[in-house]
Amino acid sequence: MRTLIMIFLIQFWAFNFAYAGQTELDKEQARAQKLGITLTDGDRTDLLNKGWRARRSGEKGPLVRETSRPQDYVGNFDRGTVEFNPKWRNYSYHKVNVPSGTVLDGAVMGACNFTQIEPNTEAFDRTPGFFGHNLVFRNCNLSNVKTYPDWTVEESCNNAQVDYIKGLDPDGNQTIVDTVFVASRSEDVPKTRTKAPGAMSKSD
Amino acid sequence: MIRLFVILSILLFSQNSFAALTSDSAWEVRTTGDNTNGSCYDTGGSGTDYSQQDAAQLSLTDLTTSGAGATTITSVTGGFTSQMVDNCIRIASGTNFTAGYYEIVTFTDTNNVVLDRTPTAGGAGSVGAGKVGGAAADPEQVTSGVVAGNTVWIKAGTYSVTVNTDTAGSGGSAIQWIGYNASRGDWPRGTDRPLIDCADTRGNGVVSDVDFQQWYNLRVQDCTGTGFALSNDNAFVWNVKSSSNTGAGFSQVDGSTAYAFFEIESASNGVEGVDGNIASTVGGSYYSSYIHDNSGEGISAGAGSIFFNTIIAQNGGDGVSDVSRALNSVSWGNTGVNSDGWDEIDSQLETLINTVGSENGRMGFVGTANVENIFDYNQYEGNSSAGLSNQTAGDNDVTADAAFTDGANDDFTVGSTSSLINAGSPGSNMAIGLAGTYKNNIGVDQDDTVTAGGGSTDLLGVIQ
Repeated sequence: MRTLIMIFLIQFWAFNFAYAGQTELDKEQARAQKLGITLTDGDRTDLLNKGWRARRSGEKGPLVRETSRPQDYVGNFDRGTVEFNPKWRNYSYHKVNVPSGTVLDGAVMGACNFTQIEPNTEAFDRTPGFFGHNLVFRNCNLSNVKTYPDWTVEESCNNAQVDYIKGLDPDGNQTIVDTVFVASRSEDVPKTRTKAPGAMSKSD
Repeated sequence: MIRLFVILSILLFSQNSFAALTSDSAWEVRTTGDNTNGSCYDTGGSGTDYSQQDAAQLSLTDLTTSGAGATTITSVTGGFTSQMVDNCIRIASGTNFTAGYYEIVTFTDTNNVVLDRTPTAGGAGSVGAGKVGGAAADPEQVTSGVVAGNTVWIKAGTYSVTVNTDTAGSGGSAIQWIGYNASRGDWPRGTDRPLIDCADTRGNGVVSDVDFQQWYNLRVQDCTGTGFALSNDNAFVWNVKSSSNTGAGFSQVDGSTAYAFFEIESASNGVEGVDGNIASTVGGSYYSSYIHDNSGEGISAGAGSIFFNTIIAQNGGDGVSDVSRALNSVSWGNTGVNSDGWDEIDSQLETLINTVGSENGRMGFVGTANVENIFDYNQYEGNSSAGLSNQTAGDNDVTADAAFTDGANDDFTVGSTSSLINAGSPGSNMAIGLAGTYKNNIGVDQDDTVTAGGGSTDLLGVIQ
C-alpha cells in the first residue's frame, strides 16, 4: 500500500513538474495587472503547477487562453462551462450558463455559435429556476446541440447532428476532415446508432 | 454540283445541330418563377426580354419538328411573335425532344420559329412541351443550361437547393452568378441578398466545381457540410456571406488555384471560417473580408495567401494559419489554448505590415525559426503567451492597447485612445479618395476622426 502511495505521489509530482511554470505565472501576472485582476494564491499555485489558472466569470477576452481557462476545462473539444455574455458569440465546445427565458438571436448578436463535437451534446446548464430553460434560438448554429421541448428553436437555426470525422492536416496535426450526417434535428438522432468510423469525441 | 450541295448541307446541318446559347445570354432566377420557364435572353439581341417576369410569355404543348436535325419548331396552337426572338424556350418533354434550353433565333410566323440548334436530333418531334420567357425558380435549375460568358441574375428570396455548377467558363468568359434585390445591379447588402438555405438537411449550399465561376451578392446558411465548396480554378467570390453551417463556411480543395475573396463574411460555422488551400503553394487572396465566430480556425489559408484589409476575430482556433502576406488586417480575440492570431508565417521574406495580432489565446504572430520576414509596423498586445514567436520584432511595432471601439460587437474602428492611430507605415495609406481625416493607422480603420463608440461599423466594406 505504501509503495502504491509512493508511486502515486511520484507520478503526481512528475505530472505537475511537467507543467510547472514560473514563466506562465510571470506572464499571467503581467496580463492580470492590465485586466485589473489580482491573482489569488490558488491562481499562483495553479499557474505554477499546471500552467493555467481558472478563468473568472465575466473576464474580458477569449474564453480559453493558454494561461486561463474555465475551471472544468478538459480539452479542445470539451472547453468547460462559461457564463453567457452577449459580447461573446462563439461558445463552440463550451457548456453555457444562459439565464432561463433568454432570446438568443444571431442577427442581433452578430453571430451565435454553440457547435459541439458529438451529436446530442448538453451545451447548456439547465439548473432549474436559473439556467437553460425556455430559451429561444434564432439565427444560431446549434450543430450537435441537444435540444429540449421547453426551448423554441426557430427554422433559421441549424440543429443538424453529424459525426465529425478526424484526419491529419498537411502538417500532421489532427483536424476535422469530413462530416457524416446523422439527423437534421436533435430529437431525430437514433437512440441506438453506430458512430461513423473515425468520428471525433469530446476526448479528442 | 450534287457533291457541293451535300457538303453545304452537312455544314449547315452541323452548325444547326451543335450551336449553343450565346455567351452573352442572361438568365433570370426568382422565387416567384417556374423551373419550366424559358429563363434566359440573348442580351445582344433586339427582341423583348421576357425572362424578367414570373410567368412564361407563351406555353405550348403541341410542338413538333419535321425530322431529325430540324431546327424549326412548329405549333398548331401558335402564339410566337417577332419580339420573342433572342428569348429562350425551355422544352421540357416530348417525343424525340431533348429537354433543354434553346434560343429562338428567327421568327417565321405565329406557328413557326427557328432555334439555335435542333431539339430533335433523333427523329421528328411531336407533343413537345415548351415555354418561352419567364424566370426560373431556383439557380440550380439553370446550371445545365448556362454556357461560358453567361450571367445568372438571382433575385432576393430564399432558395432551398444546392447549386452545383455544371459548365466551366473560360478566361475572359467566366460564368457570373449575381444576386440582386429589387433591380439587376443594385448590389444588395445584408439580408437583402438572396439566401441559399440548406435547412439543416443538405450537405453543401454551393458546389463550384468547374473553372471560371464568379459569385456575387449571396448568402448561404445551415448546411450540414460546407456552405460554399469551391474546387475549381479561377474562382471569384464577392459580397457573399456563409454562416451557421455544420462544416466550413467556405472551402477550397487542395490543388485548385487562383481564387479570390472580396468582402466575404464567414460566421458561426462548425469548422473553419475558410478551409483554404493549405497544401497548395497557391493560397487564396482575401480582401476586405470578415471571418468571425467560427468553431475552428478563422482561415486555414495555405502558402501564398494574401490578406488585405481583412478582419479575423473570435474564432475557436488560429485566426489564420499558413499566412504569407498581410497588410492592414486584424486577427483579434481568437479563443483556444493553442490559438494564435497569425500562425505559421513560414516562407522566406513574407510580408506583414500594418497588421494587428492581439488578444488571442496564445500568440499574436508565429513565424518559423531562422526565417526572416519583412515584418514591421504591426501591433500585438494582450495575447496570452506572447506577441511574437520565432518572429523578430519590427523597429516600429506597437505593443500598447489597440483599443478598438467595440471589437466584440464588430466595431473595429479605432477609439480615440487607440495605439493604432498614425502608427502605421507611411507608405500604406489606404485613404485615397475617402472623406475624412486620415493618417497611417495600423489595422483596417484608417480614419482617425472617430471617437470611442461613434465609429462606423462599415470599414471600407468589411462589415456587411
